[in-house]
Amino acid sequence: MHNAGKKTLRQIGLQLFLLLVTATVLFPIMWIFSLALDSRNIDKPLELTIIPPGASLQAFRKVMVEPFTLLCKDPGNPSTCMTFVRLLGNSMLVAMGTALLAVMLGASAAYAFSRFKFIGRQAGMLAFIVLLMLPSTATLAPLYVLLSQIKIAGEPLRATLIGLMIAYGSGALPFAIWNLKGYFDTVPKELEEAALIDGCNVTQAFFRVILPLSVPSLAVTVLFSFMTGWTEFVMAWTFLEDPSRFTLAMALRSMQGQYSTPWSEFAAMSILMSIPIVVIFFSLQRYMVSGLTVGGVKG
Amino acid sequence: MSKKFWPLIVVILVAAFVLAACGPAAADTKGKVVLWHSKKPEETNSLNMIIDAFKAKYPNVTVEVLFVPDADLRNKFETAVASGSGPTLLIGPADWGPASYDAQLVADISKMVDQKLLGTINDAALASVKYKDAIVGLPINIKGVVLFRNKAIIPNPAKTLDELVANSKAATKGDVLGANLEVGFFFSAGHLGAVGGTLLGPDGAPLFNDAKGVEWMEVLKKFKEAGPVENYTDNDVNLFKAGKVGYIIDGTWNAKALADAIGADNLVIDTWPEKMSGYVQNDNIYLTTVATGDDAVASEKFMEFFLSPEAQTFWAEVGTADKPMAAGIPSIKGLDVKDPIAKMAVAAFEKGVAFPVIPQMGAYWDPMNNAIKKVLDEGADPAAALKEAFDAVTAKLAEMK
Repeated sequence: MHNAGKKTLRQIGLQLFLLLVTATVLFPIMWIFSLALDSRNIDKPLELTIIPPGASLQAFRKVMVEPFTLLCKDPGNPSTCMTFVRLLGNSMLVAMGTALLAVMLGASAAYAFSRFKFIGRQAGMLAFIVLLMLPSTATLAPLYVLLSQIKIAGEPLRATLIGLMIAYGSGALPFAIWNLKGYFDTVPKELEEAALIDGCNVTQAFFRVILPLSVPSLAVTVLFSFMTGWTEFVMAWTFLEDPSRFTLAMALRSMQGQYSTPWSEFAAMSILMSIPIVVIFFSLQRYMVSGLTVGGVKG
Repeated sequence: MSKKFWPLIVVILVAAFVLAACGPAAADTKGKVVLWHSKKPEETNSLNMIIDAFKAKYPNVTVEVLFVPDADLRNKFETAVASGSGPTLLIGPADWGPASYDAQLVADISKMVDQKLLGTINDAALASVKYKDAIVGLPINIKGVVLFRNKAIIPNPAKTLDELVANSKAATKGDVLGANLEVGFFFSAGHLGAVGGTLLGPDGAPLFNDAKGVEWMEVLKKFKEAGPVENYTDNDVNLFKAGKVGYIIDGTWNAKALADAIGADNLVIDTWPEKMSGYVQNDNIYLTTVATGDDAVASEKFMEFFLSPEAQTFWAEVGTADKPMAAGIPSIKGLDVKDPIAKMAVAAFEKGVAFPVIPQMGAYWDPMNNAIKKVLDEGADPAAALKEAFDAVTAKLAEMK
């Protein structure tokens, strides 16, 4: 066979493989969209119909407008039931709090690990790796007990949104520290030294030189921490007891029944839940560029 | 009536009023009930009605309810109660009871509960809440394995297994089968109780390897005379829905789907013929160990109220299309249930066998089903197959220890 023929065959094979991968990636997304539009709200969806019969936005309307009757402070009073907007508010608060906590504590810890020499530095970094390897459910019980010991106005911290943020933050920190420490290592020390010569102290150098140059890494940390707080539900369902504090992920979980699930509403809720993540990703994408420090040091 | 009896009657009446006043009046009961559950929306509608009725009867008791998704409820409950917080009451499956009692998460209510109330509970359901001389919960509804009949194919019920076989043979014509009975262990273990045998003892030790066990296997072999048998497949249910089978053995949780498929008028749940029965399962309400003082008393009152005819009627309500209700099968005897399917199920469950809820039951599933397959599919000797299952169960129990 000629070289050109071999090339064409290889190209066709490659394209087929990529088409297969694309289909595998797109299939679940198409399924979710199709289910969300299916007005029949079928109990056991076993086949994919891209545009289902009687397609409508009814499931989106129901999820966004109607109260979640299972999530009520007083089940006899529908006005105490959670709505999409209230769930969204709680989710936003928890996710942003988690991201803030992870970035603030992560950046300062990562800077120390990157720049200072102290006893236990290596061991500390290894300990973070161990924490990264642990499944989140392994830390559930100790966090539950610990946060239950601390009381705010007679209420255990564990049952509040702040407690949940702390719990999520503790899970997000190991990744944040490793990620940021790795990036701080790549920022030339000479830039910091120049700032110190110009009159900055160490803290000023950290805030005015290191952090602005580490925006790509900070953006990734923010995104991942936000996603942790946004999508987690196992810990939330274990910790929280007041329905007025429940989050979107918890509401989505509550739709899954033992014997049946309203799949159209479940799919509509999943799509709505993914929108803020997509928005945050695209708004942070422009910061996720490497090479900010390239050329920062001459010679 | 002679006038000399009047003073006696007056004394008796006064004494009765005084004694009634000495008992704890509903209005005097105070405390806080915190209930966690994972019930479906329609069941929650019934639950809310029960709570409202309870609050009306016990105005000084506050009730807080928390729905937790089914998959998260047990973990949340165990974590909370183990650390001293959590609900005073939990609604969960019957098989949570023994393990939770062993872990000191749920309380023994045998000394608190009204003994008369216990006498009203379905026998099999009551058996499932008794564990190590304790009563670890109360059954709020029952469900289980029953014999479904399509009246359009087999018009009359059978009183004996022989009659069932004869009816089935007579009804088998063309593509219609008289019977397509399920023999998977979960669906067929109840027959062991019906022939007088016992699967396991209170400590979990196997007791099925005897003459009664062999008789049970003979019953299952007889099923093959009535028609093809299934071992954990949906063939029987699908054929029944298509109107092609007279008898099947299945769970009451499929009753509505079966009625929708063949028409409610054609669906019958038969009381079990001789030598046949099915497992009865139940959901329980448990008093947790964090309930103390007034809260424990109020919570126990709520448990008892859940089993009152008033509350059980709410639980059995089917509701409307706008507001569907639990449509549960009541766990108390003698309640006049409106829903015809539930009514037939209640009658069938009177001869039901309690589903063993102790943790050791985990050692039985595979060995027992293997024994059934060997006897029915490979023609093995029942006694030999049971001996093999006995050895396998014993080994698994030793591993579990």
